[in-house]
Amino acid sequence: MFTLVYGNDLFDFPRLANEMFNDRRVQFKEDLGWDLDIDPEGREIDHYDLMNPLYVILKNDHGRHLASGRLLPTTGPTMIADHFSDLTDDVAIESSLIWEVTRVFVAERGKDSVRNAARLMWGGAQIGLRAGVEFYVSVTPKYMTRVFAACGWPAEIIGEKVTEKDGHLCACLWEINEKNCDALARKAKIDAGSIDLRVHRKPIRAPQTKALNPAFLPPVAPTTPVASKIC
Amino acid sequence: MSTHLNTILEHLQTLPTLGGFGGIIDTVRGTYDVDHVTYYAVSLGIDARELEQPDVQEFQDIDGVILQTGRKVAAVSYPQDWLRWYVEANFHESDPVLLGASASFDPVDWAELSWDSRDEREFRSQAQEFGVGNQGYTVPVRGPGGQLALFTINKQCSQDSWQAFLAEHRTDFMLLGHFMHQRVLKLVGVEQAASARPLSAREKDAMRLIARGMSRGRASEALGISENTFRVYIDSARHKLGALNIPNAIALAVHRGIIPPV
Repeated sequence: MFTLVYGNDLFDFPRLANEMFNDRRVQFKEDLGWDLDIDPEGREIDHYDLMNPLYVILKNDHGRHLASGRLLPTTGPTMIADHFSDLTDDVAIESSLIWEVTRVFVAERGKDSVRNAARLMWGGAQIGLRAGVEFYVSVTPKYMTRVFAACGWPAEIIGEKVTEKDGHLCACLWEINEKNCDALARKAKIDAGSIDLRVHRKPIRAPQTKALNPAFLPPVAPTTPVASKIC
Repeated sequence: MSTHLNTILEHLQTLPTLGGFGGIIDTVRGTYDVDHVTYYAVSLGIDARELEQPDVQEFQDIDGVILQTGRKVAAVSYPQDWLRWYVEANFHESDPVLLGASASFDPVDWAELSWDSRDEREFRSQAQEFGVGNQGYTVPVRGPGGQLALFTINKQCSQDSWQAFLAEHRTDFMLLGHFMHQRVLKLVGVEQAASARPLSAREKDAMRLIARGMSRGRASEALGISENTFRVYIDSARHKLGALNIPNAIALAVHRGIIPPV
């Protein structure tokens, strides 16, 4: 159901990684019209992807990409502190107890999309809880706040703005606790105890920082976005 | 804020040199009633000065050592026989904890690592023969310039009581790992601390209200923000000041003239 993998190890999951970066292109570049770089293989990869983030990836029964999010600790570079502190009263949010989630993607498919979003958020909440982290923060398009609320874990809006380039953006905040995890598990209709949430961990290998260089990921033929063919 | 953290903070604040760091390890060990505690700076970053001769000191009271060499510092309460054998057997090349945590920023519960291969199982059984507990939790701490430190709690206990223990203390361990790393950077004279960013006007406002003894609820109301947003701002200020808890952050902010004394 889940693949939890650091950026440096993504090339252990080349197909899944390619699907995720392709789906991100469709959602953020094509649908939302954000000004993002797309590589020659059609993948949306930005410089935060090169900082060894932890990806939470939800898969369908056939191992295909359904939903995903990207986690980074706020003790290092983050989108919200580097580019959107105008949404947080000029406070650059940084703490070992606060992580950032970005590029949240959920395949659109009727009722299932809410359930998938809830499953993804449950996975993310569990990882934060297990790490002793107290809050997630994120800058997301406004419409995603309705998805979060439908999942049973509404985001608090710290600040918002309407931009010509990126549309209506919100700085979101979630408190991580057992109660919120339980609410998500109910919406996600999952038996929390039965799901494997271990992070894929591998020994360090050289050259570590080059891992996400597109040359390391085998190219794939351009496909229809996976979002439209999930059944 | 847990009383455990206050105990350790009091000890840390009086620490004049790295030589006393073994005492901190012992304080953490006693405070949380665990078998072993280690702090290991795999790299102090590119700004750390290189030492040619390793500086090794033994803890006075317990079976542990402080090692400083090159850009590495370790303060480890494991039995010295185990440390010697670890080095001699080159376990740093295959230790699943070291390798797994070095590639992560989320903490590693040893039970969730792969112990499938013969070498991994052999390593674990040897460690336990030398007195290392069966359960472990390692918090990776990352910083600018390639800094990486690993803070580990080790305990001999059943899986159930270990899970309950972690559920109670994991936020403390996250804070402690980062805070100990900041102290070590200061003690070895590395300038690149947690944050280079100054406090914003809003963070100073939040600190001022808390310093006056206002509750979080009332202070957040006064600033017109939610209580959780207030907590996030206060915690960002705490982190930037390099403090372990809010009272410590207020004291530092007053001392540095960032907010006025009450």
